[in-house]
Amino acid sequence: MTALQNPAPAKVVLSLTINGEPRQALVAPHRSLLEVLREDLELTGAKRGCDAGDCGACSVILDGRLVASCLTLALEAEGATLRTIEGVALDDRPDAALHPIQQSFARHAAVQCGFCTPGMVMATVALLEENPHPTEQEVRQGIAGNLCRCTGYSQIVEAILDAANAAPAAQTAGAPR
Amino acid sequence: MNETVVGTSVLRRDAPGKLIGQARYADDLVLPRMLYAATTRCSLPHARIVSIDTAPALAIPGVHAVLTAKDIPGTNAVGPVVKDQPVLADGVVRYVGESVAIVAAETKDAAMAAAAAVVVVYEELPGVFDPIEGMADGARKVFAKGNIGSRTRLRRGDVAAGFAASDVIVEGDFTTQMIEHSYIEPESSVATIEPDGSIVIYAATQYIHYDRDEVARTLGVPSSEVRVIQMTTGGGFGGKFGSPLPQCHAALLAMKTGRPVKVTWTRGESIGTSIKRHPYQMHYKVGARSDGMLQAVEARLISDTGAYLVTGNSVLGKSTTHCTGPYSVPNVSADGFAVHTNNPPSGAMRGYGVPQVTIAIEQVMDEIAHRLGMDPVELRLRNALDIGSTTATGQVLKGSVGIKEALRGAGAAAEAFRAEIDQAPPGRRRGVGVAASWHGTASARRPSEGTTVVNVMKDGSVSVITGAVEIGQGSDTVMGMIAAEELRVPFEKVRVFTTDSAVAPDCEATTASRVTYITGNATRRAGAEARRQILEMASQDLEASVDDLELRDGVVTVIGAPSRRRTFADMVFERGMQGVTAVGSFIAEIVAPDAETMQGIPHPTYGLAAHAALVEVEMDTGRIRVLKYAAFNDVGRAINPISVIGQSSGGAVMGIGYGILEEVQLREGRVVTPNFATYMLPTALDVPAIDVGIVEAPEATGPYGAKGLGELAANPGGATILCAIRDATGMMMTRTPVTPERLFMAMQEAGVSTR
Amino acid sequence: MTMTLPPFRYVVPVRLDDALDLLAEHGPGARVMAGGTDIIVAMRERGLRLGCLVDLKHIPGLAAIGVGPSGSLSIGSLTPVRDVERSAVVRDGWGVLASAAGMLASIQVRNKATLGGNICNASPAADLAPPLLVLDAVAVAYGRQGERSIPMAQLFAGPGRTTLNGDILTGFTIPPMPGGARAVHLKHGPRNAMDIAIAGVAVLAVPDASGTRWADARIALGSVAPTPIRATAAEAALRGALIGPESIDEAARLAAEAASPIGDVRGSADYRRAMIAALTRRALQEVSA
Ligand SMILES: Cc1cc2nc3c(=O)[nH]c(=O)nc-3n(C[C@H](O)[C@H](O)[C@H](O)COP(=O)(O)OP(=O)(O)OC[C@H]3O[C@@H](n4cnc5c(N)ncnc54)[C@H](O)[C@@H]3O)c2cc1C
Ligand code: FES
Ligand code: FES
Repeated sequence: MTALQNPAPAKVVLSLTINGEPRQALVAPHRSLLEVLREDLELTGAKRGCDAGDCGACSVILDGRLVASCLTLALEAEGATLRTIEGVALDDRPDAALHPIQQSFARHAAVQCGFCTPGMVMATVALLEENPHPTEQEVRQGIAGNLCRCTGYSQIVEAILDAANAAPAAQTAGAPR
Repeated sequence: MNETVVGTSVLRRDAPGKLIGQARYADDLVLPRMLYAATTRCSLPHARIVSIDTAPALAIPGVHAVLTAKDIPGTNAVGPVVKDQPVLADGVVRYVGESVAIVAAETKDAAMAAAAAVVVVYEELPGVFDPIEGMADGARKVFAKGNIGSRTRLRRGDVAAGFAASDVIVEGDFTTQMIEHSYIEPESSVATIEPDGSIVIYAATQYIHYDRDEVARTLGVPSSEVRVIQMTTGGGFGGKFGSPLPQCHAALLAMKTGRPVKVTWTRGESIGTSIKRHPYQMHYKVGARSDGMLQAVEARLISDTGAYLVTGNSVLGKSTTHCTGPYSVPNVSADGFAVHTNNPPSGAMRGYGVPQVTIAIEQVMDEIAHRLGMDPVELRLRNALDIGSTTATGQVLKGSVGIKEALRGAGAAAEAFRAEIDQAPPGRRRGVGVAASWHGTASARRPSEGTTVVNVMKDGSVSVITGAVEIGQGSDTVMGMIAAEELRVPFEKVRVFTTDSAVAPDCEATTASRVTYITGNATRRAGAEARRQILEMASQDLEASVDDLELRDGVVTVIGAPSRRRTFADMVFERGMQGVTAVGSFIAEIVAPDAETMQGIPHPTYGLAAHAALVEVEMDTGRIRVLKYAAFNDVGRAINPISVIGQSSGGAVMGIGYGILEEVQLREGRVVTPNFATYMLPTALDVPAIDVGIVEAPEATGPYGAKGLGELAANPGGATILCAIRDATGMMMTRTPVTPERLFMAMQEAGVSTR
Repeated sequence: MTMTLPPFRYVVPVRLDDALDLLAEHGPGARVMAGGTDIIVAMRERGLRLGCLVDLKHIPGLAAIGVGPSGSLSIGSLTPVRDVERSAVVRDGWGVLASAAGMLASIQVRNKATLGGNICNASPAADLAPPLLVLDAVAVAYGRQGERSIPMAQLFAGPGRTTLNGDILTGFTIPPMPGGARAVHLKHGPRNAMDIAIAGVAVLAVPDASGTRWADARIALGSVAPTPIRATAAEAALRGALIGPESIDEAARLAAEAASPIGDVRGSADYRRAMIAALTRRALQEVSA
């Protein structure tokens, strides 16, 4: 047994900023960021769909970059600034009401089973911060790493285009803090 | 139609929670002292288990239990229709990845190590991997009783006479692949033992009561000892109904350890070992007169049901009754065989045997049109079912047959697409295809039942309790809308509860496109009954006839004399009541198809669809792009149109994936596409915006005219793309998925210029 | 597919020499990690077990993009693929590399995956290898003996194997594109995103002064041999030949001959070979249009 011959190396303290708050966790090096978010930090919004970078359900924004948290070691996030789905509603408004992107998803029925939804929203946040007024093709490129089995993407694409149109460029950006 | 809620687009109330990451799925659940499970799986497709040594696994620190078949206190066999799948392999393994032992440990690391440490000695047996081979005399046996797990036989009219009357006869062989449901949420269940010794399971599931009963049988306890609570479920498509193994495994381990146990499968386990959509090999022979009228359909359908049948017989039955497509055919003869192999078991998946036959019959229809020089849409229109038509099972359709309208919609879309056909860049060719399909609502085996309880509380708000669970398709919203409609309250005042088997009446599974129709009817009846009771009270108090009263948001008024009014709150208060509770049930009557000929009334009603696509083929590579897609689905009545659009586009994209991308590839029974890197789902860049046309041919027996949509939406997609590929290249592709390679090689072989 | 990664140590050196020390200290079970997108998947899905991961991301300077006095591009091996795709410098001067980067996986993966990791992983299907091959890139490696240069054409030793011999790849030097040169990269798979290539072809071609003949042509092939390769016979046939369908067809034929693909779940050997011909033909048409 590999696990026995090679006893787990000592855990270390991971410190990072998540959705504006300093957080810490004691983690073993082989834990993925997704696992630590879900299992140690009680942030279960990021979903495990494949654990291999193929589905995007685990997407988070790490130091300004959209990444698959299943392909990221928790310790890679040491000192980092992390944004997760739990912080999106807070991004723009202190009352934790839905972010305009989330409102648009709801309005366009872009949510069915919802399992892809947190990742889709994070990909959308990243996309619109980079490109506040994307074309339909750019929207599809922006979410190409996020699989959805329920919606066929149509209503998601509409929701994103609408969110982009509804918001003046500056407001959509919701500048990362 | 003077409804005020039904027919309007209502936003789902579960959306905000899902959008902020707070919706709770089974794997999100962590209970105090919870253990993690892992599974020891066999790596051989067919073998005798000589011995199992669990001691090395138990020796790993943190491991609390290692269970094998001999530790199952109850019955070791599950399955929705046929109970032939072991919960844990007993003596024999019949497919790669079959579970042999389960472990529970303090950490996932320890659980995995333990699962790997179980020593199983196998004696390898020869395997059979192809159903045709499996049917042959002297074939190696998956089961001693033989490999043919189920047969169907449909006879209507006289096919020989039909062929004699035909001017054109088209014959062809078609092969469809195994696919995976690919819900993005993998299987997950958490089981706990309550202080009173009963068992609670929190599960990703499509049918809480089925899980409850299977867990109870496995544990050897009465069903009343088990309570299944559905967590928010990340898609199902049939796959979270077909096999309750995660629930049973979690329950066994919880029972053994006395601690909560979580079973969550990896994506590899999900693709590799869960049930699949049956691969089919089909032979079709179809005759038509020169005016296009179909005279006879002869079909031989062979499905690979893999190691276990679970629902394979019933899927085959649906393929057989639907083998003609949505056309009126006087003479039909069909024989079906569900054959066991040492491949992973196939079972229920959205479409339930219909997408397969749709691939075949629709390609044949295009070939007939081609031979007759007739427009393919025209050919379909001439043969399309209508009110008064008789289906292959001898069922006379009494109403709600919207296929012609759907075909006209798809035909118009196809015409519009055709305008772009010449705009293909050099080296590419474009084509337009139209395909049709149908789907019987609810089960064909026996009457199908749903029950709903409606409570009107003292303040006039409403709870709807029913057992047909939400799996993402929006049924909770539809049930709420129906109750709101019947009780004339705003939708916001209705809450729907479907998740708890201890509370909700058994409404059968969220499958078979049955929820809107069956549970919807039950909910409507319950709502109407509650309204009746309320009006009855008001009628007494106001001394007015019920017919002269109007209920609106908790207030009953006399029509034309609004000052004569009673509030619901006052009426129940004065009577010392706590509110009003009403129960509604609905049973869809069917006449189960006869065993010899399959004549009968297998479904109360049918959804009908016609889809159109514009594709572009890169001639030098065979690469296919779907440029435009329009889906016309007859849903009877769209209770929540925005959700019909969502189901329709999701179904269309699933159909596109079936046609050209997805395939669970096997090598000697081993799944070699165990991840989403090799099992290819369409991404947002692989599909166009789906144009949805809602066709509403009201179904008299459905709630507000509605019938099912879930599966129908996905049935024609694959065939539609194949028809468009044929239009682009002239190639009738007979094997799905039509990958670039298959198309390129076929074009080369046929001498089509691939430049 | 495992539920968790197998245990390993994780260290974060801030100097190249420290990284080499750590690798030496932990022996054969130690591996450098860049973005981790290959290594983590290999541990989770392909049974790779490692004693120690040496994360290079905290060593300063390894993700820099700059143009030297000679006009050469120097690009650090830790540059995320997403930055290769979006860098104005790379797009303007070495567009074929940027466009290949834009076709790799998804944004989520490209934001982590690095240029160096893509090459050091030495997959025959590495998307960035064909462009680097036709650009005549030179890899810069750092080891106990100091720095050394390895021409791209000599970097791959076999599937998953390079000639780095335990050295760390620090970056690439890429000469400016020859005057008048045009280059394209074509990747073939069934989908528009997230596909590992069934076949990939990069072509860089330079017409002669008259514009009628090929002065130089470089062709690199991905996914069709144990490593990404240059199709040298096809290149030789083009040099000096008239630009037109004849030379293009001949080069496509020779490129396909150079391929020695295997069949797997993504495609058969025959199809892959045919795709090399098709993509080579199309790429040459595009650069000569
Ligand atoms: C979902 C998904 C999709 C993908 N799609 C594609 C695709 O379309 N095309 C494609 O080409 N690839 C694809 N990949 C593979 C992968 O993303 C790329 O190869 C990536 O560029 C690897 O870079 P990395 O930094 O993540 O490498 P790592 O995983 O960190 O390293 C890979 C290997 O290179 C070694 N290494 C890394 N850096 C150095 C260095 N500086 N010096 C010496 N050795 C080093 C490591 O030791 C390791 O052996 C995909 C991966 C995933 C998960
Ligand atoms: S779970 Fe991370 S990409 Fe699928
Ligand atoms: S809504 Fe179910 S996967 Fe996207």
